[in-house]
Amino acid sequence: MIAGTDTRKGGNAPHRTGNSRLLGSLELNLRAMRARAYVRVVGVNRELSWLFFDIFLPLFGVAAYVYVYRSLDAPPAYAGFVILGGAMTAYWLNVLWAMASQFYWDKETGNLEVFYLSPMSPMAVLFGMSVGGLIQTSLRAFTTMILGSWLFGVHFQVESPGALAAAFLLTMAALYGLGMALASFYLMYGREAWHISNLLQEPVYLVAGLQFPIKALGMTVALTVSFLPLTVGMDAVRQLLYPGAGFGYLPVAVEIGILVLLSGIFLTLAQVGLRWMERAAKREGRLTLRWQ
Amino acid sequence: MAVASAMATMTAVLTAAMAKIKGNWRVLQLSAWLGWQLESNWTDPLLFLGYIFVKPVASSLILLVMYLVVTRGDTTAPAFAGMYVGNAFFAFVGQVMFGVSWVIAEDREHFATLKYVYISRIRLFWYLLGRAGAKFVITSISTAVLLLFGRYALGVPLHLTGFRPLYFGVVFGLGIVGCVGASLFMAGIMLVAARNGGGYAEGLAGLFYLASGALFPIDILPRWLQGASLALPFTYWIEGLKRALLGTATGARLSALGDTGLLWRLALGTAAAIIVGAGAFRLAEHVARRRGLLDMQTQS
Repeated sequence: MIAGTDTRKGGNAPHRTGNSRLLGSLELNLRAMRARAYVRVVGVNRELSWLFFDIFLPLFGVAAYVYVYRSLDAPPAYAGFVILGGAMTAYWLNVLWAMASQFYWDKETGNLEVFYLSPMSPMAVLFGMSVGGLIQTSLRAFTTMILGSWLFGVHFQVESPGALAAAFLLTMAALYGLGMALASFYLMYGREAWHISNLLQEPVYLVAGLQFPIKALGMTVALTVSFLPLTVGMDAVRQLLYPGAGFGYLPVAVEIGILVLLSGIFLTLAQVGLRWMERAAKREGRLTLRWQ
Repeated sequence: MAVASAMATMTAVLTAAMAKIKGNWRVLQLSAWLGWQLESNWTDPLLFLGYIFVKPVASSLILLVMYLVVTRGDTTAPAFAGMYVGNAFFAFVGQVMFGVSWVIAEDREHFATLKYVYISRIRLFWYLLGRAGAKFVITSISTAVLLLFGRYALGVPLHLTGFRPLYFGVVFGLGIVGCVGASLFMAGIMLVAARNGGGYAEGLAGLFYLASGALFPIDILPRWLQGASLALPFTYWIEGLKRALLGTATGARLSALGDTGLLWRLALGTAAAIIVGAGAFRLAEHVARRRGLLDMQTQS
């Protein structure tokens, strides 16, 4: 092999061009992404008890809220809100605990330094975590939707499947973008990261309107918390599953536009934040600082 | 001579027992202090106070909005009062159970100290009870704030005139012991489970949340679930607390039980929870040691 040539990356010329370097880098990062996602997807399948507990235990909490509405003689649609909220909760929990605070956990277990020693971009690791987490969590979310609907006799009415798919996917893009941005932010922190994630759990359930239409909090509050993908996404999905019921606070098309905007903002924030936090963490010697 | 020898033996036994009790008490105190430091010293006290209030207040506000969005009614109604008080006290079940089981994952994988605790002279059992103590203190503060918030901000009818302190004290104490039993059970599960098992405690708490009737009368549950509900100590605990604080019984099934009958059922359920919890913990400890799981590292 000629020095400076990497045959694994298809480079036979002695001097690699800018394009082949770019392709090589892209391939490397895609492989890193796949590897990080693989751990999440395969990890669950190898431990079937996780699958069982992940899917069935959260249903109890969802059922408790359904019975709260039943005890108040609420219309059947409210049980549907709770089931939908229960499914979306899984994504928020995944973003908080398996995205945002993951780098903190990786730092504590010594993986973070290995990520930074390798030639890949940390963004590839974050993307891999997102894809793996999304696949892993979708299983729980969809099972909650299917079993919850069946158990409580909830019927959703899908008139625009394309819009529904777009609203859901854009919510996920913005939500996981937020998770990536938070992960870069948490890179600097120690135990605070764990506590911040813990703190963000219930308040976000409240302001995202996971158990009730966000409109109930009033237009001012709803608009103020529209920077949260879950708030906007939940409202859009809810409107598309109950067309014409008047539960939304903004038209679906506007909400889809907001989600596109939020996806772009959070992904950019993640990249900029990661670079900035990495520099700061290196300067302060926090990248390998454990048990603080 | 024989009497003197018997006396000496008895004194020696008593001294040894006292030394053991003193030792365990010291472990309890120190691990509770450690738990408190771990929970609180990551930030300044003022921010920490805010932190312990935000979560429970947010979860109560969720219930408030759910209630208002359907009934548009007043928050002094018995249905809301029962729901509010049940939710405020149920935090003990969730927090203590999750907190203690998470100690296993945290000490084993994060701080990697579980193995050192295990090979030291102290008993893991007492160490965990101490850590549960720290969780208990934090949850007590946030529950007290929730009750005050409910009384003064939402108008929940929590009046001192209807308050029965003795009944409250007995019911509350028994329920906390039941929480410790459930926590030990979950800690045992975590000893043999991976880090992801942290979610199991939350899932089990979800089951108790549903079946205990913390938020609604158990009469609206399906019949088979009502049976499960009546087998749980937490059902009687929450009901007893509502009676002590609000002065009213909830739902037809539980209203049929007198205060003393309720107390007896709670005592029996608590005893069962402690026996099952401690037994499961010891069994899991044995399995974890045999399989070499006490210092495992898991990832996802």
